[in-house]
Amino acid sequence: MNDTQTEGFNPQEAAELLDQTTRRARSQFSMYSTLGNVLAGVAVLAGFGAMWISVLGQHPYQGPALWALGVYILLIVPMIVVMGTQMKRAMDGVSGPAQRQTRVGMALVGATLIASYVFGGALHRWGVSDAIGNGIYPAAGPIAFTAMAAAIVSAMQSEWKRVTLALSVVVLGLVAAYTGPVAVWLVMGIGLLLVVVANEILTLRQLRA
Amino acid sequence: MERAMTTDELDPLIHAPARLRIVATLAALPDGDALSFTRLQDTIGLTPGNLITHLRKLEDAGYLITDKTGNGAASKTAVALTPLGRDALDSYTKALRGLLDGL
Repeated sequence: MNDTQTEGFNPQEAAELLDQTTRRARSQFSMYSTLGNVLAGVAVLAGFGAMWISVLGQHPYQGPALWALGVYILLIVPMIVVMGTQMKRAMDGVSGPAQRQTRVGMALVGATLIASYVFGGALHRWGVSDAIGNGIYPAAGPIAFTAMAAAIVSAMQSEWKRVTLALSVVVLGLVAAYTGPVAVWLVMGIGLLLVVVANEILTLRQLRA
Repeated sequence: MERAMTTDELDPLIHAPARLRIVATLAALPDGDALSFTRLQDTIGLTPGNLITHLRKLEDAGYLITDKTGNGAASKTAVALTPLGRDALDSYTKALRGLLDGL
């Protein structure tokens, strides 16, 4: 059967084609990437785990060792590359109000992340303790602030699943901050892994619906 | 009594493999968003001429709108499903389910 032929195109075939095309299109226009999500899970658990191991037993507390920071960066770079590629693929050739909203939202979330690190620099500049400046704040602060911005942007787009996930990261950051400069790294690593797993389950369910 | 499988209840504008794929692909985008002709062609895998023919039929029925910007080789065409087109796909899907459930 060719593409213009309706003769012999029975409802069963039509239903299969509709289902297959819808799934394929949803997957192509989705920012979600299984590989990106798996890499995010590995990056948060192993990266924050390395930070936690490097600060264990420090007296006085100084902050994560350079090798741990290196491990974190090594893990996070491939995740950013994979997620960036997927985003580009999802947005390529798409235009319109929802697309513009997404781009503005991403810019706001990115600006919040940068601003939160700049704020961290000010804390160092004015002599905040190492426990806060090299522990509690960098482990939980930028992620919690950025997640709050993501929650606001997602709420404006009525993306309630993303609002819930972002708010759970905010709560995680607040709870982790109270566990102290050593445990904060471990709590954030495990907590973020759970959020990544929840995101994977919810997104797959949504794509298969 | 077994119901005969008939396609009479199905919108003939959508009930063609190529047009069904075009409408279903555009429906996966949020309301009001458009897809470039090139991306749509890559996704559907039709020749430009074939795609244009189907797009014209759907546009004439008010199921989609095309927006051309620029001139000559630099021109770009974006295609979006209209609310009427989205409703037509919903009705088509319901009719299809009804037919399959009745078997």
